[in-house]
Amino acid sequence: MLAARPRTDLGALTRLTELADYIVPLTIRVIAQLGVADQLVDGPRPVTELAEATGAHAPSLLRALRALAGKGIFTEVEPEVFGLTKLAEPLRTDHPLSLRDAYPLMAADVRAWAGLARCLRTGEAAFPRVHGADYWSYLAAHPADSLAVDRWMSSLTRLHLRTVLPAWPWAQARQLVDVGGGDGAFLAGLLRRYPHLHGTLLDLPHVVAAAPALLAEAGVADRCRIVAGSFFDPLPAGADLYVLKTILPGWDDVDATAILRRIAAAMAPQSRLLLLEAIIPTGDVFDVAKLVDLHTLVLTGGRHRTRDDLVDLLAHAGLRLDRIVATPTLTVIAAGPAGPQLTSP
Amino acid sequence: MAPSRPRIDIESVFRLTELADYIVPFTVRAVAELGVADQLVDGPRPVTELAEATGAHAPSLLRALRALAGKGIFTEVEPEVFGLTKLAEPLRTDHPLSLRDAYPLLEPDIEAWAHFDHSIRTGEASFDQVHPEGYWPYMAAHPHDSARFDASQQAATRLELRAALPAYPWGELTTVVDVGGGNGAFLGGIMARFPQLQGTLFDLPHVVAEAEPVLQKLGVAQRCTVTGGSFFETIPAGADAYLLKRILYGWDDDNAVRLLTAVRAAMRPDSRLLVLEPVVEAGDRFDVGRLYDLLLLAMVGGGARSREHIERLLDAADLRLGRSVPTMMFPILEIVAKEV
Repeated sequence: MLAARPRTDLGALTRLTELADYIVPLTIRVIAQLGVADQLVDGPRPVTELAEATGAHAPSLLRALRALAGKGIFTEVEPEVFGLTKLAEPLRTDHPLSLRDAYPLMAADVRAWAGLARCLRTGEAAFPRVHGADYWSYLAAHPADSLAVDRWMSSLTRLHLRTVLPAWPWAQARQLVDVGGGDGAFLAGLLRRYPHLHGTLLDLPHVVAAAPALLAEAGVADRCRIVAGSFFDPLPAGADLYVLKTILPGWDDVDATAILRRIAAAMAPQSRLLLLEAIIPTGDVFDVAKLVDLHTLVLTGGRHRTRDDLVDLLAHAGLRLDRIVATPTLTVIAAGPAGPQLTSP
Repeated sequence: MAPSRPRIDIESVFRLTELADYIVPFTVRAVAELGVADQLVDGPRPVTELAEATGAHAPSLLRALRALAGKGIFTEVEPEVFGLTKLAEPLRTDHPLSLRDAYPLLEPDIEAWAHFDHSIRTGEASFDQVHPEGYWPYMAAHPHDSARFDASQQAATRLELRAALPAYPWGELTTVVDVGGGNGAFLGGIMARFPQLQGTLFDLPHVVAEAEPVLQKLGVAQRCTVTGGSFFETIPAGADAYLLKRILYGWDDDNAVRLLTAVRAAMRPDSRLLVLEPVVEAGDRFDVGRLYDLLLLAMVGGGARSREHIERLLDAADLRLGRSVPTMMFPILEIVAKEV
């Protein structure tokens, strides 16, 4: 076959340039971090006032806001005076689906991303090579970063609660364990919505440290037990539901199987495991799961999985797929114990 | 005024999420660096072959290509077999406006961007937070990064040429001096299209040392004089036009005026000075100059100026702005000597 001659298509050049640009994404994150949108809820303000209120350098903030205004995020209503736009609204802290904390400029993450090409050459996570520690150890040793990750997770959790709760008949369960449940934000949202539910929150000690205050604020502390521990150790037994929300993608198949076996061992015959995670679709369809998958590769070396991958993984841990429910965000994958194994003669 | 209630507009949430994503941009760059598109010019191939040909880890390359295919860059024609698309074509090395080298994933740059909040808080270069020696000394000491930076500039020059050629009446000129013209790719590209032009390439001696093969390849070496020197001192005199392409914005006001004064001293009363660089304007119109402006802030702490600011500098150098000619990229500012 003869090599195809390249075609010059200016539209394609422009679109590719836009897709290759990281300046806009990183600038959005700095502006979100500074909290500029919160300063504009009463109407447009001069950039000098915004800079003073957010601790920014006015001429540099001006340049950043002008770049974003070119993409429809904020608008320069008169020279050096900026106001909110539809695209800037979700950066407000008081927005019901606030994305303000959804896009932290995590220096440690971005520095790991600088090593993506090597990651693609070796298949190994970039983060440990760049920082000399795996992702979770690094966070345990860097409280400010850990806090930013928690906030980011909380803002995702709000979105997940809104989309995932309607996808499962939670009312039928009485006891639920959120395995690797972080600071308890998801579980608290669930318990608030279903007053008959009792929950157990399990995660590492430095992670659950923030949970008592959060659960108390949500008014569910009396229905929630906190267990500081690891999901590689034996888990509280006999609950109706075990939830693993966006945990497995952080781990390779060996570790993921080990976690699932701990859950299988804790389950009663009627227990159900709910995996809440993004599933990689097949084909050229865009899905944020494909991006999160690469983030996982760079940070932890883990991976997101297709439906078939998950079925295999569950089977290896003695679990059987029950059903799959899609939502606008995460997918709900329900599994039960596979039952007595047939032994070969 | 009472605070406005926030509105939930799910479309805006998704669009903002797309705009805030850096995973696609970084992945485009890593895949460009591996040279995957060049391996597909004869048609689709399995990811295992692509990985072997580009030195990649096949399962990881698969994940990267699937993410890009979701944005229309490459297509998975059957499971684990990928082909080119319209959006992947410009990543070919043999594309006339190839962007393969335009988007390097330069580690020192990305490390600096990781601390971009420092620039917005202080107005200082983020780069210095990571590498205190500063951008240019770092590049001078790191030839591999420096070569990739140069390649990205050459890709940018191809686009600037494409933008500048149809936008300006180059046919009216006979002699042109490109001040700080680098390896001559821009000047040579204009001369190749306008055979009446006699050119002079002017830059530091070690920079213009790279020019000869570039000018030869463009077939303009016979018509182009190459002169090494500092543009703060003596610039070759008496040409119809002087070019300053993305030079001025890298210097502070004092040095910019020094440079403009040196150009003015070389100009005849009827010479023109053509400044091609981002110019900051108020309002919400997107132009790529706004991103170059932030790039400069993050890397070296400089930045683009407004037209009024440039006019003040011109005035101090006995020059004035004649007109501003828009192009697909940066405007061309046509500058003349101030009337006495």
